Amino acid sequence: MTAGTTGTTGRLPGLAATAEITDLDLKGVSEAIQSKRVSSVEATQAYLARIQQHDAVLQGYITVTGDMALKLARRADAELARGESRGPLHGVPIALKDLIAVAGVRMTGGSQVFAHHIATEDSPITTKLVEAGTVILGKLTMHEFAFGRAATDGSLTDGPFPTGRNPWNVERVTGGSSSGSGVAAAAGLCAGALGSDTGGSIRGPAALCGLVGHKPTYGLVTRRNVLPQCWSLDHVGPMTRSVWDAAVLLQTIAGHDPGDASTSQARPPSYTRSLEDGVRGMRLGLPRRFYLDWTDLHPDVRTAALGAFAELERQGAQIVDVDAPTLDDTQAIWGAMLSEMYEYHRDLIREHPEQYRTPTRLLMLASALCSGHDLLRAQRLRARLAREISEILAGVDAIIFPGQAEPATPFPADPTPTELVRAASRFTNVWNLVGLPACVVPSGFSQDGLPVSIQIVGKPFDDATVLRIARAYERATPWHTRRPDPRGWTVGVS
Amino acid sequence: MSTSHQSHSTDGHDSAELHAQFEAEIRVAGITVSNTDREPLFHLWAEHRPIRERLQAAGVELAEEPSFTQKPARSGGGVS
Repeated sequence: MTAGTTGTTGRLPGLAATAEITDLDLKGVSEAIQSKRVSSVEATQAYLARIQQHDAVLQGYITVTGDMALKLARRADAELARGESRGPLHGVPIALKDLIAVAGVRMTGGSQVFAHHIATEDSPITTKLVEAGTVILGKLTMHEFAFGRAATDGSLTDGPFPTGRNPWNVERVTGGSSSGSGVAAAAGLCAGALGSDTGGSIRGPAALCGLVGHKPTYGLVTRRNVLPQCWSLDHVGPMTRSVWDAAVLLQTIAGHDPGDASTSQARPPSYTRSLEDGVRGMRLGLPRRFYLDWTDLHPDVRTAALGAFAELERQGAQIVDVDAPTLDDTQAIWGAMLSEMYEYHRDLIREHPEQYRTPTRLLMLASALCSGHDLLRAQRLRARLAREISEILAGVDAIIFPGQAEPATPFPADPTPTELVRAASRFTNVWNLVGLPACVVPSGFSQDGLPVSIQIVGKPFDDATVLRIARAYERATPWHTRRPDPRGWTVGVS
Repeated sequence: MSTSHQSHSTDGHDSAELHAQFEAEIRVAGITVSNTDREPLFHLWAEHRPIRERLQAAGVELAEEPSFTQKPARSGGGVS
């Protein structure tokens, strides 16, 4: 098969007549390339064509690295032709949130502040991905510095740093801050994406876009040459169409980095070996009071979550109620920890305040008003929270609850922040504070057709069990096989 | 600064008193806030104030250390 046979449809002669490479999950793309039904160049061209066709509306990419991608794809094809494979990611086109450095490529953090910043060296994450054979399609949109609000108002006037539209309904938000990662992976603008998560920025958009999103254990994946938001809360992880995809991406980027003192020196286990082992005999803790009984939980999310938990019970898991008193203080603790964000930006915002979007600047300045006393109190409560969660996890294999408070909402009419700590983040930021592995997996759709999810949290560095539980649910349900309809990807014509 | 909040009370606090506290915290933090940002920042700060008060009201035992000495996800993690 030669390059350039896909045209703009992405339909490939080596696949079934109705199949498009961009409809597949990462595993499907990997298998197609490994079996030479599709070349890496063809797959890459299919994604580039789809980006060209749809990204003006979806706004998943800040920078498309087409030439670099095709160069990597040609390398992958040449190696496969010699019988050499680098593994399951060989030749697979993926994309990175625009805060993970790729040498020689612009890295903006979604902000005018870094609009002209060219990364001079790769993040070790990028290096590992390229060594594993991936093709880097480009850098993905994000909320400014991983904290600003959605920039789009549904029009096409978002300027150079848009934040993306939800492929399931382009009038809805994607969630953030890894908004472009959610858009691109869900819309088939890449086979998988990486995001980052400080308070839910992988899991939120993954949940709202119908993806698997995995925040690894703190210390499992390096943060070197990744633009920080809050050093003690930041995690980099995969956002994909299936659990296997997430496991393979995690396997590639996990491991000790001597340049990041927070990374564990322990060798990561295989994240795919036990993926199909199921949940029979597992005990799963459900924080019913804090999550399911929360009055602001959307009824469609609750209904889908209860159905998902029933499925896990049907498969042989035992579900028990659990609770931790300090969960009620997590918004206050997390809010205080955001002062780390101001500490990183203090000189930049002093010198270039006008280059920050107004909502981002206000949130940064608000985080500067946290006192040393507040921060120390938060740190002590954070340690208490970690102890309480650890005690829960001593009695269960994992903790389960809904992935998000509600499905994707319409774009806010006024993007000015009205709150420093969003209520919906109660589903995610707890798990940044304690650094535990947390994965969202699709659990159905709301009555108006928007994805909803459940979340699974595990013991430190037991990401494998989290993914195994997610896979046990995924393989019993059809949600991960559904795709948003490109015919709906139009805006501004009403 | 807008005067529209001067006569209102928020959570039992006089608005003028709140504004004075806000300005004091800005001075302590040493940040520069433009006139345009001042009022929306005040609203954010005021909105977050009950959360900060909850933080300070939480009972903490003398023996409870901060998390940078008891590292979250510490099993197998961190510098060994």
